[in-house]
Amino acid sequence: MVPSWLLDEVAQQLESQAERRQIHQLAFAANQNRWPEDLNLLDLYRLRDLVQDLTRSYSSFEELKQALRRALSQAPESKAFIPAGRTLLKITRQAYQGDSSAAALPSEASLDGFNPSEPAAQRLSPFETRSIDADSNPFPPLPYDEISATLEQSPSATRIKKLLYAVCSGEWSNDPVMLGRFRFTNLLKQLHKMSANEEALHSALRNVVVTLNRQMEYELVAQLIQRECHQLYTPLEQLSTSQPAPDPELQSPTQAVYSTEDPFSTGPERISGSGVDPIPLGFYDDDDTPEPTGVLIPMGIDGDQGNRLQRENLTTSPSQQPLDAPPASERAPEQWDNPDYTDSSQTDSAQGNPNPVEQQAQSLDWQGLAELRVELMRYANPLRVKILLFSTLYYPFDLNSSGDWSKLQTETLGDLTLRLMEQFTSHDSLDEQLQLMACQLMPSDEYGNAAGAIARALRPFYP
Amino acid sequence: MDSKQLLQQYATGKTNFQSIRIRSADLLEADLIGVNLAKAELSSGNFMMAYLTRVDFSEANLSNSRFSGANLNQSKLVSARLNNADLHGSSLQGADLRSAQLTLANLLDANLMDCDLRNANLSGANLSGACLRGANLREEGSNRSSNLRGANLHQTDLRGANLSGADLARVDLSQADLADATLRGADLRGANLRGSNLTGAILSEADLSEAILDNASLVNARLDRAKLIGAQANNSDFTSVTLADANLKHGSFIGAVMVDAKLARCDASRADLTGVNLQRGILSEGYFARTNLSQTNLTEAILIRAEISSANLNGADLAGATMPDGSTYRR
Repeated sequence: MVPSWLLDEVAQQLESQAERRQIHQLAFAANQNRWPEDLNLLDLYRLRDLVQDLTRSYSSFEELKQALRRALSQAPESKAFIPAGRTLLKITRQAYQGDSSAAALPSEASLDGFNPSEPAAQRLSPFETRSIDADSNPFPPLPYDEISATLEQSPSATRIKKLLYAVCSGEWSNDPVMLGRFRFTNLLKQLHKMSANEEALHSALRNVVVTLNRQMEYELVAQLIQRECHQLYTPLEQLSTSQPAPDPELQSPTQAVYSTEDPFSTGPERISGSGVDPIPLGFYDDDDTPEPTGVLIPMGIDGDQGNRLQRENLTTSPSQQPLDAPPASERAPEQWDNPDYTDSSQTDSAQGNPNPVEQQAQSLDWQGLAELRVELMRYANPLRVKILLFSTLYYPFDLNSSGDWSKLQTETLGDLTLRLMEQFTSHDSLDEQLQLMACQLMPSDEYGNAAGAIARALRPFYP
Repeated sequence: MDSKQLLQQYATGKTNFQSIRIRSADLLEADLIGVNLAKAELSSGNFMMAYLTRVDFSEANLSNSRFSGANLNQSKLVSARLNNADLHGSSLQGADLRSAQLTLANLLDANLMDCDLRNANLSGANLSGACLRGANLREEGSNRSSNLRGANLHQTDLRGANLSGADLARVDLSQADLADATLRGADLRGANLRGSNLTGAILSEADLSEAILDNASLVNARLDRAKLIGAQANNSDFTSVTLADANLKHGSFIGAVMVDAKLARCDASRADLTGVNLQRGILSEGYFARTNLSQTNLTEAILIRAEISSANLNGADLAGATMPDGSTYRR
């Protein structure tokens, strides 16, 4: 019997996923052996209750996996539910702690392309994320720019960027215009934020590489990225050497063994038999022209246990956080989860030398602010603009979290806009972050529109 | 009928759903553009992020419903009941909200540009960050004007809005943008207008008694015959303002800028104008009984027939001023 608190935790994590509607439907289908004809019907079933029923009906993790496979085989559009299936398994695995099949055992090897032992930390809490946020640690600034320069000079720079973008956004793009909007440095920061350690980085890259049709080439690209990123992790690992080592079984990436029957397999083989239509899951590189059909789930990547250990280490280590520093919960929201956030104690402005954009934001009077708001409201949905601003400043907004709604109510659109201007010193980095975040929110086209409206409205305020 | 049936029938082309009853309807992100839901009973419904442009909700009961992020542009909400509705971040541009009941509604950051809000009841509503640019809230006929009593209009954009005769008593309008707004005869007693922008606003005959206007901008505003009894407008900018026949009794205007202001026939008795810059101001026939005019800049001001005999003029600079008797002051 799964404890109530654990069910709450699992349900909460599932609710926070971008594909929660699909997860909800899949959980319903696995329970009821039928897919809901009316999506409104779903609202009668709480996701938590569905998960509880699943854990009662399927006493082992393997059984749960089989049930999800069966449900997927009957799905009207099964490929659309594959990412949801992966996420559901990954997160629900926590409810099977005592089950050996839930650990990284042979059955899991067939699940290449997703790793149930990875944490359900697509959205780390602000405090957890903060603990691994490179911008927040007390070490000297991390060499993102140097690494970016090295990668940019590589003959494989285009492929490196595609791979970085895919890992960060969960989508593959061959569109040079789209890729051109993102700077290497910001992609690297995002990747670093998502990957708590080198194993996690390896998994993140590998999870994408195995879905590509040019795996050999991209394997080399991934190795190059990993080699260059090694220096980003050294200080953190040195710090945690005295701590218990994370379970290697949970930490190490699984071997690639593809199953022709496993609908979750993201290997080169296509699914056949058992009534499942072939589901193309791979990403395609530029030369091959077919559109990518897979959707990756950007994750905070780490083993559950390792992640927990590391969080404890980092949040309690005196060398990581000064004893007189305020607890994370007492810090201002702007310090939570922003890759471009710079601690005010380290900014130029703290030394009486604010950057020009920050100065402009500070001097922007109500009249200028009112014009900005009008511009935003004319061309985008005000609530979506707020949600995107909130997500870019702090962490991805969760529509199902009453806490997030409360926080959103405490700041006006104008406040959030000013805060964004204060935190992003260049328009390019602001635009990139907005676009990246828009990709993570659903429906992404609506948020993409909001991102464009914000970037356009703020353009005149940047040099 | 339930939400599902409504959507199904709409999908088949039906658009007239007048007087339907669906309690706690779930129409999250629903697309119901252009439907007729007049007189419908839809209280406590969920319309979040729904597409509801040009929907007719006239006289519908939408109390306690959730419209966060919904698009209600050009919708018809005449006499609709939206009490306690959540319209956070919704878009109502050009909507007809005449006589709508919006008591305690949450309109935080809502787009209400060009809305018709005549006679709407917005008492206790939260309009913080909302944009009401070009909205019409003026008094209509013999009916009562828009009721905004107790509403939160902090940082609200009301530029160019028509609020003639509106009840804005004790309303929080701090940092609101009221530039070029028409507030003729509005009740602004005890309102908080701290840091607001009233540039070019028309406040003729408005009642601003006990209102707080510190650090507000009233450049070129018209306040003729306005009541500012006991108002507090320290460090505000009244450049070129018209305060003719206004009542400023007991008001506090310390450090304000009133260059080129027109204060003819105003009553500023017992008001505190310490350090005010009244350069080139027109104060003719003004009543300044026991007014504190110490440290004021009255250079080139016109004080013809003004009553300043009991005013405190310590440290005031009167160089070039035209004194009550018509003479020019010489140092």
